Amino acid sequence: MEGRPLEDVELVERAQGGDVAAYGELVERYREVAFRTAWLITRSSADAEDAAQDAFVKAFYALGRFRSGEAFRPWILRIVSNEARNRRRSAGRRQHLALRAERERGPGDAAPSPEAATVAREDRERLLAALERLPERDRLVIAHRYLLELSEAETAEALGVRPGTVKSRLSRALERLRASMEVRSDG
Amino acid sequence: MDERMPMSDEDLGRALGTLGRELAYPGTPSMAPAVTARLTTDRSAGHRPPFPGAALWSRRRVVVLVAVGVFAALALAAAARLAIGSIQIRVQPGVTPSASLPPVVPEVLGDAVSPEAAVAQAGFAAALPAGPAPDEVYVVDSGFGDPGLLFAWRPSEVYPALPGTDHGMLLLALQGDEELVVKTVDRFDDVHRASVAGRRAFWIPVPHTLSVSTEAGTQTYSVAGNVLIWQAADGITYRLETTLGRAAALALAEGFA
Repeated sequence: MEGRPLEDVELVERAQGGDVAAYGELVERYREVAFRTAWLITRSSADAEDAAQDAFVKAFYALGRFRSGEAFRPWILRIVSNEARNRRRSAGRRQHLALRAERERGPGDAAPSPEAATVAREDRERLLAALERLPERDRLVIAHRYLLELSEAETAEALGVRPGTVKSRLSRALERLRASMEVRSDG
Repeated sequence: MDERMPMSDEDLGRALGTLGRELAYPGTPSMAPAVTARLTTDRSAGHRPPFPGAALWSRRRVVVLVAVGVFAALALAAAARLAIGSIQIRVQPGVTPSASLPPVVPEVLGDAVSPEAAVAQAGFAAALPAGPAPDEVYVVDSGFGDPGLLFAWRPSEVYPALPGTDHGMLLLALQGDEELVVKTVDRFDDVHRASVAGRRAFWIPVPHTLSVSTEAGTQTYSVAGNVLIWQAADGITYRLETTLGRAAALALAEGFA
């Protein structure tokens, strides 16, 4: 488009003027977090893709209601979350959270010893298993805040709740996560 | 690891952040080409209103078609999705509650609890209408979003029985704006705009369906009663299902305390 990458606000303004190509830039910019958000809710690649794509289309037609100065990412994630929730199917088809088979390290990262790497991976596996045992409400607030690395304000916007609700829900969710880890350790 | 001290919230947050970066997400599909193609096709086929693409049009055509465009945009946007707080209303032509769908009965939520226990479990107290107190209180916890409260009144002279149920009135109270409940109606005209305490409300006096997101999937019920939906100033969304007419239902809602 131009030499420097356009800011979200500029792309939104162009899209509000009907510039579909500018909107395509926004889609490209946020497709990964949108798809991952949808996948964390639906746990189905096909449903997540449909949800994210439909959300982007609906969001385009809703740009007239997008307030100037608002952040685009949480706004689109709110629409994605709603679309994803409406596509949830039976529990039997859900994919599970899993760690990547091999961690990709940057060139400057020191490789941990094999023993340390094994322990660290076991810790993460244990944390993941505890997370999977939590109720949906707890899992989703943790997923938005920590796995997707959204701020509390963004998490609130994406989930459609107040920032104070995110704070209290996170606090309870982390407490239950700790309990879930301890129960399994004791068992 | 079992002998370690429990992690603080901060440590747990950091560990979860690391975990998030190491999750094996499915590959993100390319989306921009498909989305822009859909938008372009919609526009050329005239299936969608030109807004917000009006700037691409000539000024003359915009002037001529602005009224039509605005009306079309408003109608389509409204038809596609209406929402108040935690409740979304969808218009799906041809949809009518099938006889096989169960009615909304509070018993599917589990056992009734005491009002005090309900408030403690849900974490909030709902306003209630003046008049007879509810006969039963249930906590609605689908595992998705914050828990809600459902109040049920047995049939009486004040609240005649809702078709297909053992209740005369049902009041659902939900927290926040997370759209957890979807109501689907046949026609846009089935949803009437109203006002409760000066706040936007919807009145639905026709049979429709109600879907609730749960961890096991989406559960859908038939609704035969008249429904009033509004969001109070404190953010609580109310859904009142009753056999009362519009004026009586609105008066009841205005008297919530």
